[in-house]
Amino acid sequence: MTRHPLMPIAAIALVSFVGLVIGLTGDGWEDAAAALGLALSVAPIGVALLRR
Amino acid sequence: MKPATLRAWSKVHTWSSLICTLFMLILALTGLPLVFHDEIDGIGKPERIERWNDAELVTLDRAIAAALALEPGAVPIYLSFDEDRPVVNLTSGPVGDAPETAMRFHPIDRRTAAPPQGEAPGGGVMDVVLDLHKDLLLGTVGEYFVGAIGLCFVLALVSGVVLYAPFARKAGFASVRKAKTARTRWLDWHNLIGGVTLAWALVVGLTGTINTLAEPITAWWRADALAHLARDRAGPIAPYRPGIADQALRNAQAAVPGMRVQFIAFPGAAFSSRDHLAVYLQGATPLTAKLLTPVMVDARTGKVDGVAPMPWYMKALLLAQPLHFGDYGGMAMKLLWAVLDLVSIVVLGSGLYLWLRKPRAARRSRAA
Repeated sequence: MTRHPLMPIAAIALVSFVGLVIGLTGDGWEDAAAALGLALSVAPIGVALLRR
Repeated sequence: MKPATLRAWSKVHTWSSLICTLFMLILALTGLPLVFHDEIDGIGKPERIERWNDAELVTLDRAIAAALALEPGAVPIYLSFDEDRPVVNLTSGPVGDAPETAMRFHPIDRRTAAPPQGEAPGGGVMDVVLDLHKDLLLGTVGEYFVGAIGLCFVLALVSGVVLYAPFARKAGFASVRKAKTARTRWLDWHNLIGGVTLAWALVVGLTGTINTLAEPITAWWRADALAHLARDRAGPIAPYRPGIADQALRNAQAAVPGMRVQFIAFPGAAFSSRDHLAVYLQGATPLTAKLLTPVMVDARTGKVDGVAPMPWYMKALLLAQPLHFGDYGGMAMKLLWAVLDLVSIVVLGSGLYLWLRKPRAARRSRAA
């Protein structure tokens, strides 16, 4: 079975979105979850830059 | 996907992007300092921990009187409360239902019944940046225009994902073909950054559009949920009388215990009715603190007429604000928000570059 080409960006989008929503519900680990979700969004850009 | 379908999506992506790019660049550039508005507002102000004794504070109505004395003839419209110091902010105007442009803002320190020491009136440069971001300095028309631009941006994102699918099948995820031409490299960066920041961009675009609709959404809520509490929607606005603000707050907090006040809307204000003070209470948890419960207090008697829990569309409006500015998760989140804002500028710029550098023959055939 071949993986759908949009699978990676769908997974990143889902994790980022869930993090953003969780971040609204608290001020402790919830904020960390939101930051982690966003960090996951920018991580592939950093990896691609380092590959230069 | 059939070639004809792909071409149609390509047209949608090109035109929705071209329409919104210039304005999105303005919004991204003005949005960047707004992420750090607290820090920027605090520049030059000494950082000190405020201490006070509740028993020594003047009453709300005394503070209102002090603010109204600065603007004779004005009436109170909103009263909001600072969280970290005993300062209330009176928004006043010539009449209770005055437009936003006619409103004035007066902070009053409840320790002294005077404006806080060392504070210049007005919000300074960040207010201008916010207005530019909110409505391009064009008022209500500009606000709706920015909302339409937000929808265009969302359409560009969705069509971009549709176009990205066949591309990703060939090139693979997050690959930048460095040996190829500059245009191919920028296409890869455009696809990579646009793809991985999709959720953030969709959230910011959609919540931004929702925020531009705050006025009609609030008007709908007024006509819908508050209508049964308003006795005479066409009648005169109940006048402010000294003593009523303290009485309204006391009675509202007794009706809904365990909540703290966020702001009070006086009769005639958009967030109230013509004959009520609406006391907006917030919960104690981080989530319930963002969702407000209005308690409608009769402006003549001071008695609670009813509690009007907010419907889903008002809750969506209230949650759209923190989700748009990303200022609810501490400094780490703000920094990431700023990085995402900056990379979105790269996506916008690279998109424009790709369109400008597209071979002329290809542009002509697409246009045909």
